[in-house]
Amino acid sequence: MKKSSTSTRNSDKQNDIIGSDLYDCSQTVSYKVKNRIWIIVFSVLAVLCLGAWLFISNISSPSKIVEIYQNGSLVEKIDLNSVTNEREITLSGEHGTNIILISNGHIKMKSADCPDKLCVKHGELKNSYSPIVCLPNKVVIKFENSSDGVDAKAGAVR
Amino acid sequence: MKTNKPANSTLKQNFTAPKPNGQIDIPRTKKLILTAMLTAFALVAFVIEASIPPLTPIYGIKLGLANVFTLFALYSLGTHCAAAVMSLRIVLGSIFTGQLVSFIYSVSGSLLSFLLMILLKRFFQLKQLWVLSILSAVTHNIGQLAAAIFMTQTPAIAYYLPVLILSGIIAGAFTGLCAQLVLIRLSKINNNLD
Repeated sequence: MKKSSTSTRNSDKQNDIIGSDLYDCSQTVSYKVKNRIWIIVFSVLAVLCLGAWLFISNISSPSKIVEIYQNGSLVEKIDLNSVTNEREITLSGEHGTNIILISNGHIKMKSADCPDKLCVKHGELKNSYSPIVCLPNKVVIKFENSSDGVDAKAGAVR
Repeated sequence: MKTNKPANSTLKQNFTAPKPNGQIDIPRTKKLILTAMLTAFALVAFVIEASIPPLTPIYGIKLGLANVFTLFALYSLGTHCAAAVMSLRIVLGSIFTGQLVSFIYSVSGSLLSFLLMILLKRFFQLKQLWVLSILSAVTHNIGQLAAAIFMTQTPAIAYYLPVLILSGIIAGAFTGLCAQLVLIRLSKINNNLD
């Protein structure tokens, strides 16, 4: 009996130590200071990212030559200004089928059988920095020679 | 009766005495059961989240609710159990949702973020769990992006990096705060029960 009482007292003491470790006033102050620093760091990073995103998405592409990639290889190259009447391109591969709609100066993903349909929701291809990407079907639509600009941009962001 | 009482108290002590670093010292069987339960919870969260349609037209932006349970396991059960929870959740989750392509992105992102978590865990106490969570969420998104660039062979997707970092900060703060608040409340309950 005596032994058991000491052991419970010991455990109480241990818990007190842990409690004080977690909720000690002097420690919470340093936590608060550190947390505040981290909040500032993350909010600055968030604002920078937002700025970079807005900056990149406002640039419009000068060229109207569009490249369509499937599985990383070039499938078709089209000058959007030379397209006179609307037409559809059907891309079917091992991963799924995508239908691309082309009209004069415009290109967009009309339909896809991927689960999330993010490429369809992306809408028209606006600039070289936001290519239409269908990750499940591995299809990419982008403006020609946009890779140099994006690489430079990506290096700057990193 | 006389022999029962001390045995009972030592049992209770075994179950509820946490270490000074906030980790609960628990027997192997209970650890195993807790790991299995956390994996099940994480799977449920993952499947529910996968069935919600995406909010933004950008691939890779989501809340990552299942990560709450990984963080919980990391801080309450240790590195090994957290690794088990996370790897099982990824494998079973991609089987349940039936998306093998997203499995590759998921693995690459998770591997990178988990490495970061076990490397940096010692620098962050329980009250700074949210910082670790944000850092791991951001690295998860970067890993996912790197895998996407490698898979599609188009470096142009790197354009998504600022958005993915931003979403990582928001989602990481949310999941980290969830795990942190639950862990702090649980440790308070553990202290009061004795």
